[in-house]
Amino acid sequence: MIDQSTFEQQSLIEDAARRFLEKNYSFEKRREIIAEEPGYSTDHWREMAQLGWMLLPISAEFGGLGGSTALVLTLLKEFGRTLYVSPYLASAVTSARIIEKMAARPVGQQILEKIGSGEVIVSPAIYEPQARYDLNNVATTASTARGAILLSGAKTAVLYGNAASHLLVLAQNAGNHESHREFSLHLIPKDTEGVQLTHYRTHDGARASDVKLDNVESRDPQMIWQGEQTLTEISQAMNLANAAISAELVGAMEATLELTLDFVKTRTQFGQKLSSFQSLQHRLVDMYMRCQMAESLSRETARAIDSFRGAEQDIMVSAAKCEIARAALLNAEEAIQLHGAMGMMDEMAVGHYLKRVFSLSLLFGDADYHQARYRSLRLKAAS
Amino acid sequence: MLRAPPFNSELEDFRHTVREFIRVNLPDHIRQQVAAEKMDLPREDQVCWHRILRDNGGWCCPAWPKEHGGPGWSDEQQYVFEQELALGNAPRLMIYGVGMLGPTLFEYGSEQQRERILPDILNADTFWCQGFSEPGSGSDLASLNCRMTPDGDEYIVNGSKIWTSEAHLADWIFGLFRSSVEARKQQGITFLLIDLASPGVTVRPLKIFEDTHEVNQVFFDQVRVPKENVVGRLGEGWEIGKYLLSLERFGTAEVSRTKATMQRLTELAFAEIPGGTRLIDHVDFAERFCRAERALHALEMTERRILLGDQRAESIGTGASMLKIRGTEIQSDVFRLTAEASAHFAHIDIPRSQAGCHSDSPYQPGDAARNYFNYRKTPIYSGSNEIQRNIIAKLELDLRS
Ligand SMILES: Cc1cc2nc3c(=O)[nH]c(=O)nc-3n(C[C@H](O)[C@H](O)[C@H](O)COP(=O)(O)OP(=O)(O)OC[C@H]3O[C@@H](n4cnc5c(N)ncnc54)[C@H](O)[C@@H]3O)c2cc1C
Repeated sequence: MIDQSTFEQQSLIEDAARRFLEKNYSFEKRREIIAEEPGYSTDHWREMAQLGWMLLPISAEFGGLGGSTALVLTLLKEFGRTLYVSPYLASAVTSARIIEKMAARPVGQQILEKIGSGEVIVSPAIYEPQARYDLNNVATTASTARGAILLSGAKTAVLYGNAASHLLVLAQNAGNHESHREFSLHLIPKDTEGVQLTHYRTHDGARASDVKLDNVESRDPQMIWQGEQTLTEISQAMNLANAAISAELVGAMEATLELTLDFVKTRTQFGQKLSSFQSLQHRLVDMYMRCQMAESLSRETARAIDSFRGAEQDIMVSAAKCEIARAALLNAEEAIQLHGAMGMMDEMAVGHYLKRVFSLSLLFGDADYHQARYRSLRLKAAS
Repeated sequence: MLRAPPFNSELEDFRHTVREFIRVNLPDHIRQQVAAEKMDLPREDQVCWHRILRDNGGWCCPAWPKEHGGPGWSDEQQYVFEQELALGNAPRLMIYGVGMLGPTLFEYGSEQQRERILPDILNADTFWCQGFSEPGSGSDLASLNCRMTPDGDEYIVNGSKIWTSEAHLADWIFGLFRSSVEARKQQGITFLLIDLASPGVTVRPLKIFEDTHEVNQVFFDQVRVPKENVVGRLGEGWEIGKYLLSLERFGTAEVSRTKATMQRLTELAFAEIPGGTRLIDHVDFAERFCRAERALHALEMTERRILLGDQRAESIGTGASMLKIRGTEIQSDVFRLTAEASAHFAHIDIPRSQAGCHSDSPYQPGDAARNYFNYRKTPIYSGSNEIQRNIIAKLELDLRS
């Protein structure tokens, strides 16, 4: 259970975020923002940095606020409620955590300060087109030629590659043997020669990019991290990212339920409110219960990330992501159905929740991926 | 593989003829749109394909008798024909004119109406749309109150229809209008035909959340309609409307359309991925894939039993509701699966109009997810799945409150 002070802090964050988003991110305002490049509001970005939100996930050791995971997830849940899109998840949550895990203090601290102040946006370039969500499948190579380290390969769905100043590129060291593979991580300024990006809109109104790396020189030895633990550390950072996504999904689920309840309580057919039809009541009760289960699992991810490492953390995060992603998608579909044709309208928020939930559910591993990961961890654990 | 049993050799020969015809005659640019799961094609493409079928013995109107220019086929032939259209990525038949209004006029229209209207449908000179739903009357259709008031030898129509598919492409609308207020709301409804070019008609486009324009709101402001445009008797509209909705038998479950989608998913699932794992080798995906196949087969065989079985009746009754529910549910599942199968590729939202040719695949970036979103409409429209369940509960299982 959460203690009193965490609870109070959570309430503060929740209130602040809700106020900020209510003021700045109405559904109409959002529509304007995502219609234009860069696909998020740079004004909001600055304000959020001033509010200290980007420092929240960064540990105190590296100059951040070192908020507990529960606090970070509280913020993300609010983002989820309003369909907020920005590079926050990519930079302040995922990249920041990877850098914390990998970098030694002075170097890491310098970058993290800039991420924390919002000056620098770092997007993880981890996943590859052929790999689906398998972190171990890395075809991008890091090879050494005449003293320089060169990266070549392709990355996909790099979040807000358009806005990023740097990419965090995962590569496999060239010449590795199947049985002994070494991985390295490189912080690459986006304007480095040989980096080629194709930007696109995603269905939820956010932006992402495909990245081609053609003999890109990884110049700064301070910005290269490698070692046995590279993949493990990345996978732990991805746990935080997936916990964050799950929290966003829970927020979206809550908002979707509220929208739908409002709708069925006002829409009349057959001389009565839709809410009076028992078959619909049951559907809404099921939606409500899925929200509650999702909320509990989301809180469990916070606990797992702050208290466990390794398999115990992995299994909890995958359990949550798998269950929450499925539930959120189902709830969004149900919400549309219960709206009837209104649910198909672009001017209504409900369809946009389905799009957002769909994107989030795929991000950093879809439900099938996390189900498989859960299963394999479960089979390895003692019976 | 689960495969439906073949028909007798005569029908299988017929199937072969249809298949060949589609293969040779369907223009590529139309085939591609259908293969990308586009349901509503531009008018010129619909007309083009319709006329190709027309010129081949009236195949454009498979349920029409020979006297009206149709091919006069048996149920089995119609069934096989619809299957082959779907599997060959040919467009759906023109539902409003060909599927709905034509047969309604055979039954209820006057001789003069048949002569005036049917040839234009057969030749695709006139496009029709269906005006049933209103802002306040969706599931509760009988509560509709878009009014028609007599004035000399005309009616004056006021009010609006909503969710009208293809109204922006259409020349005429048929629909149900309130001609009098009676104790039972099903009474006092009249089936009326209105020229959309009449003064006082406005068609307002409505955008679907995945960015397509398929539906509209149609406003009527003091629109004058000649009395000869009433179909059947005044106040008989509800009965005619019910008849019209029961007409659609072949293809409502979209079994063969879903089979075609499943075929595309199969290609995706079994494709070798250089440096990666085939999708079908992921057990969780494979299980969901197999489940969809099983459900689809059960549906196909149920459809056959209902449409072509020994006890087939003039009206398939609640069978239509069951086919509609299961058909749209399975179709939605297959679209979701296809969207998820596309993984990172599924995120990309390049509008259809702007997508270049990314690969040989008919699906361009973003299509898989877009189709998944767009096909959420099918459990809602033509009588929502909830309303269809109410019908089965009441009429089939005799469950009443
Ligand atoms: C893409 C699209 C195209 C369409 N094209 C046309 C067209 O061309 N012409 C036309 O006339 N109409 C068209 N429609 C409208 C369609 O027929 C209606 O949307 C449908 O009848 C449902 O009505 P509604 O949208 O008003 O939903 P409502 O009736 O408001 O229903 C909302 C929800 O409540 C449920 N519900 C309602 N009553 C009950 C009950 N008694 N018990 C249990 N659940 C209930 C419904 O199932 C639904 O889930 C189209 C709709 C869509 C989405």
